[in-house]
Amino acid sequence: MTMKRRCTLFAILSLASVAWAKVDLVTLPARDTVQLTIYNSADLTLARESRALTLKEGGNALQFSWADTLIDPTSLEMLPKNHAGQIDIAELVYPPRVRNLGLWNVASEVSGKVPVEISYLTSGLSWRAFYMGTLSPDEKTMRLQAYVRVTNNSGEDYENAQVRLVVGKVHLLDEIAALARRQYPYGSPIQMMREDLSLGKGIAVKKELEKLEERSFGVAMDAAEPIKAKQIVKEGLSEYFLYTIEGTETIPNGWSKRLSSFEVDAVPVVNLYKFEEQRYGSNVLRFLSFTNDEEHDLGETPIPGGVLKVYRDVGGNKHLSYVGQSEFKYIPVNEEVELNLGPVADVVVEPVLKNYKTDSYRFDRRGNVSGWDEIRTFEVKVRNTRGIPVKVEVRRNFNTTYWTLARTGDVDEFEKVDADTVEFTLQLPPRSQKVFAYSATTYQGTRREDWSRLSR
Amino acid sequence: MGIPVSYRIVNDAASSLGQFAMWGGKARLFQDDGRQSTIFLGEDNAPLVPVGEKMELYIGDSRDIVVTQRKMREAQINLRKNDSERVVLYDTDEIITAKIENFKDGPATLTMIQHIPGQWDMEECNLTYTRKDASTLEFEIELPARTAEGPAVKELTMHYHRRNIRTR
Repeated sequence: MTMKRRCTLFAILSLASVAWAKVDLVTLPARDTVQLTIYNSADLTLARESRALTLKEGGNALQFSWADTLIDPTSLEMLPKNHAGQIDIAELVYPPRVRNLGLWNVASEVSGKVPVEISYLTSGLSWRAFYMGTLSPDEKTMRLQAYVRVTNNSGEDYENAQVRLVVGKVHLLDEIAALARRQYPYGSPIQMMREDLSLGKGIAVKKELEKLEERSFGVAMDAAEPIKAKQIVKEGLSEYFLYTIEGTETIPNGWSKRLSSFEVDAVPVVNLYKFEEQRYGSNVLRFLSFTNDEEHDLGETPIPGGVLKVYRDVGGNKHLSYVGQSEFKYIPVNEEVELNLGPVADVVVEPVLKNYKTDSYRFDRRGNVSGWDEIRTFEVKVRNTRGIPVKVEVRRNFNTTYWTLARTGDVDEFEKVDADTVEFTLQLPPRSQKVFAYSATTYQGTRREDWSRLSR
Repeated sequence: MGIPVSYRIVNDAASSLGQFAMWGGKARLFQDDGRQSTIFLGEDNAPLVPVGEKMELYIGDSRDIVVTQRKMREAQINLRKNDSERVVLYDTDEIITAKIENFKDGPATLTMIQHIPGQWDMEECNLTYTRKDASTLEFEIELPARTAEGPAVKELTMHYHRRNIRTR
């Protein structure tokens, strides 16, 4: 197993006789296994690798170098997996005037091969989710295909790594990349210029391609075994969701890998259109709404945030038309989502002020106007020019909390959203129009006192 | 917006601690994943914790607990006027509602803080709270796990009056 392109180097040496700088270095056997737990809310990965060290009875020193990688040296941990109680990992020393080097002092009562687990936090590995949605011709269902892309810019090649992806927002005090670039792991952090890790990599690219070709050929030669999409095991831990990709993955430094996450053939969706002048101006916005639950063939796990590109199957010949795209945040199980696909022209909402009058004047002792009502009557026309049924939510704001409302017309439902906003909900059949009207009375000056008294 | 999540650790014998004060410093929390590995939960600066005291380590934000808060009413009442009929002092009549949803598989305790400035009194509140100081209300809300039907939901309705507000 060729593990490294760069000089992360292990060595075991005798503690008793020599100082760290003068000892002979012995290259250790390659990693046996490596597990990467990659977070998406921060530039953070927990790497856990196992190796078989050859220890001598007595004092042993293990040198660990992380030059050209983005490992946080303060996070390094080593744990023997056998001979518990007979191996004492006494300390981790960072020698002065040397960068990117640590020395583990290990006291062992056994000699021979000992499996150890080394874990550390590194930056430079990342993952993100993205989605493709294909609406059926009647737009009642959507085929949802989810992918994850894992990218490795950590400075380290990871071959045959078990990859786990974490969804959730983790709290970090320091950026791992900044810790990795400190001159002294625990010393005064001197802000260094970011070293361009890509420097010198141009030469390496050819070799990378060669390596990749070798791998590709390797796959092609083994054509008897078809390549299957890997399963992703999902589970919740604390506030996070963990996605474990089946088997192992090889992700060389500088490369990305796209993996299929899940696919659902027909998620029932609601075509929702929204109109709210204060938020969206005079545009009607299209939303695609569904719930992350069993009824929608989802709900097994939360859906990581990402970008969804939506297409529509226009029927026959398998032609697709682009509908829009929406970036969304993490969707918990059972939560309803509304994905904003942007403004549309095929559903039209036209509010028209049909009448304005004032009424119920109040006067103070000097005969000045102290209170009055303003009554605005709006007629709202809602047109669905599409060949499918749609749901339209029309929100109206009053800019005051002192109001009452009377309505007439085709409106299906009406709800007070907050102190100064109401929402009318309409279901429109294909190529149809509904008209409703409402009269909003807003109370001004001392008339607010009457409103307060009447509405309590 | 996520809800901050903290782990509370008490430095006492019941927590297998309590022998000595715990030094302050960076604390990194991991959780056993049940498969002989761990995941990193987060890190926080721990203070010095004397024996018997507790510390709270903030590890990250939960997005499985969702709070939707709305102001449903805000009106001036009990208006008091000067000789020129100008309002010089008034009270308010305010209603705040909050819908709290737990989408997690397990139960959770949510500590929700609400602030009401100045002089105030509560007319009606459907959940119990502790008055932490003159203007801070702390609700300790126990949320059961979500069920097959959907998230566990609790609703808070707070109807209160701010008193004796002077107009400028």
